Amino acid sequence: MSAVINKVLWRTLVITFYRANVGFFSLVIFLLFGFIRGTEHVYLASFLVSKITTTLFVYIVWVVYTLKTILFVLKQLQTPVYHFIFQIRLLSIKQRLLLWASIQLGLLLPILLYGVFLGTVAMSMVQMGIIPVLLFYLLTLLVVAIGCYEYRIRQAPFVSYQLINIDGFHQKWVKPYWSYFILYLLGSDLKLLLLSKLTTCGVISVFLHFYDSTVLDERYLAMAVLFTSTGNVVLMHQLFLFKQIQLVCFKNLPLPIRRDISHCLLTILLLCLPELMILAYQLWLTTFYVFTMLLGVAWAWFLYTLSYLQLTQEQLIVRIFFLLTVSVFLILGNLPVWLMALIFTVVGIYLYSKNYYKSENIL
Amino acid sequence: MLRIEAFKKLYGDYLALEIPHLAIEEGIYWIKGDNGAGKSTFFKALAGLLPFEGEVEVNGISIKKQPIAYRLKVNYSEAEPQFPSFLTAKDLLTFFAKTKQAPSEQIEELITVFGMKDYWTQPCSTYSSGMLKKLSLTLGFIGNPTLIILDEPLITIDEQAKETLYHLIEQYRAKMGTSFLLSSHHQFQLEALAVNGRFLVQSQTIQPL
Repeated sequence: MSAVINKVLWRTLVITFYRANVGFFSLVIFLLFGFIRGTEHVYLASFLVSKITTTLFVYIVWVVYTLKTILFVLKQLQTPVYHFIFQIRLLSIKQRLLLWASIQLGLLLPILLYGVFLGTVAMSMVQMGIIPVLLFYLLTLLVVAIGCYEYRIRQAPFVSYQLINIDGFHQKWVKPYWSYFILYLLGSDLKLLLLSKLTTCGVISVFLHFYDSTVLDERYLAMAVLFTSTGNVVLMHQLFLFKQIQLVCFKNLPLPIRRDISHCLLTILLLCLPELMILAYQLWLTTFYVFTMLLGVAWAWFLYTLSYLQLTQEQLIVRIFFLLTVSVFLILGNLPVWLMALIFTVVGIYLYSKNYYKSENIL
Repeated sequence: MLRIEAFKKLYGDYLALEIPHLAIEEGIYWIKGDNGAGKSTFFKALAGLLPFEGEVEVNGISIKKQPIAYRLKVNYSEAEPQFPSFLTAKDLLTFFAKTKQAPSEQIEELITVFGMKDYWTQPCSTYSSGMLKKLSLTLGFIGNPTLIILDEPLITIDEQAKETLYHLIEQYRAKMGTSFLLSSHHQFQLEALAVNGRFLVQSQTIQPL
């Protein structure tokens, strides 16, 4: 019986995870094997296993990856179609823990493989003390994940996470259209919002820490903003899905496209507010910096409109990568930042107007 | 009233529905068909929720050439409505009324007749399936539509709400000349209405019965 349940859980959680993240894994494989040669991999691994402190670098990456797998499973458990998984509460605790272990080992497969690679390198370097450390790391990640799943499965299938109690707000105020997606993120996908903002704010903060505006070329700032804004791609795609699934009946509304676009731009501007505030706080508000900020928002808007081209995840990533590369060259070629912001805005408006009614959720 | 030319809806390579030509005069029409026959796909396409090949016009207004004018005149209520859980009926009705150019009194009337006054300021997450259905029907009657598409309007609602629905359909038909496309498996209840015609969705097309 457990074998059957294990098979079902693998199909619903593990395989779904890899399918959902095929773009992410393609990108990782592309970066790891497209740029770094075999000897460099061994060299990097040798450095990582040379001391216990250097293994912490690996551990941090593994923690982030494990967090990603845990969040994925928790999100699946929250979805009504996966509520049947809660039936495994009928199994004994021992059986359940074994099932979770099997699932988590499947999800951690990439880091397990890398762990084996690091272990082999450590053995070849006669750094035997590192192997128990790596095993300890992997074990902690496994135990924490199992603990999370077991805790969640003991709760009711429907658990609503709400940041603030807004019952009074509901009764008094009519929520504006541009706030819908932000409220949705705050209520149902807070983790995505926080992770995205932490990443983008982290990137821009680190850049600004090293950036000396009196000496360095302003083009670097424009590039940093462009890369930071690319960090919003998941949020932008989620906005597309939100409109396609949750607000599908709104397509029956006679909402002029220009009004819809202004609502979307306002939503995106609000989502980009943390990065914009960091930029405004760190830099003098000269015309160039204002244009650079506009470039960040315009790029995020453009990324959002790309979702309306009905591309697969891989196609979308390839296009973004290509457009980002072209944009970097254009910045290096001294194309004015305001012009780039204008181009992204106008092309985005064109794509959105052309494809809004033609789009549908094909997932 | 409704004219459809060279209509084709594909999901990938799968042909879901094909209608070479269909013209329907004003009135109340019952669209029948087995589960999965394509009724909801047909309705969603007519409502502008799904893209399709071909042309659809309501009183000469094209869905593709005049998307805003068309949507002002065509309303839709889905079979199994889903709304963002944090929104209230008040949020949705206010926004729909604004875009469909409906007077605020109409919202008041509709929530009163459907008995939604007690909960319309509560978020949708607290609604039962019947309450969600009533909200969806209310949204379908907002404004001054030429055509209202009601997909399975009788499911999950109570008897009183069904009576209200029949009354509203007759009222809109008599006062505003609104036409209706309805789908339902509840034959006897729908026959309480003066249905002008029936169509069957079958074998990836639609034909008069």
